[in-house]
Amino acid sequence: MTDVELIQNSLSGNDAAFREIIDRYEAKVAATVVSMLGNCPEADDVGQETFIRFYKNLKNFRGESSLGTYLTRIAMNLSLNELKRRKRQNRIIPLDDPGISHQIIDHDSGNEKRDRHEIVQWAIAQLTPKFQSTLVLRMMKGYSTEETAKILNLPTGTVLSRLARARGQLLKILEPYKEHI
Amino acid sequence: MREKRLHKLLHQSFDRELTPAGREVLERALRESGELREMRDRLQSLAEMPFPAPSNSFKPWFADRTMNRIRQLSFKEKQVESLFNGIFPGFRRIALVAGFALVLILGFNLSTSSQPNIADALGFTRYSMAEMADPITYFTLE
Repeated sequence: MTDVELIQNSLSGNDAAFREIIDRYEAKVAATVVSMLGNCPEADDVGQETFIRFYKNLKNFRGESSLGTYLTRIAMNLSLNELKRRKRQNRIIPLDDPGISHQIIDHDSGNEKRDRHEIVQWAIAQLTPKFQSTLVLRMMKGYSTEETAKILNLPTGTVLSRLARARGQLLKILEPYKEHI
Repeated sequence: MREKRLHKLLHQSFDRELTPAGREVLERALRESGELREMRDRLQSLAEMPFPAPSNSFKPWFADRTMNRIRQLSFKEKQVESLFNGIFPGFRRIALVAGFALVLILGFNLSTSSQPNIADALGFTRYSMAEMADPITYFTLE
């Protein structure tokens, strides 16, 4: 069944059709939310809220962008709201300091790759939300610059300059760990 | 200024196809500047960096939990809707009866008044300016 058919069935009150949409797009939404917020209980809540928002606005989905892009946009906006909320409450969830983990990198073990990922994940989390969101979509999720601009509702030029600044910041943050990456 | 423009071009080369003119400018600058080449190499290493594969699932039973929340929300909305549907017709009846009674009172007042006007229709007592100016009348006004 196509996405459009699933949406039409959901609109006529078919819960199984909406469940199918969740099954189909859980991975996509999870990739966005977890990349932005890390693996925390709030990520699950934001994921659920993404689908609930979509359910409430099913009628407004006009299919101008693909369902995946539409859901990614909702997920990204909600993740940014969550980051703002954390900032307001001064509640930053610290990811593990790679300063500890890089010392225990064992180049002969299979853990090396995981440790590198931890360092990169930590470095991305140090960026401000606007740079983080741009970088996550463009470099981790592989969206094109134009798609990233569409999801973030920004001009392409702004996305390009944010990417440049985000990369610059990331290089600075990763400077002490460059031997391990 | 030129350096800034070259940095911008270099960054953009990782994100989109440059125009032929832009590419030529960048290539020439890269041939001439060791610093720019170093920057390109750093950006290249960043582009090739092992970005963590994004997690592709939430906690188990995510779809079930989301559907439960949606059902609960729908149930609550239906409850509120049915509450309003129950209350609204009751209020409508009361409003209709009150409106009808008001029309009857207005009609009666107007028909019994010698000079039909709004004050008489609403049953207000009218005072002349002299009465209003009289302190005794003023303080005994209800």
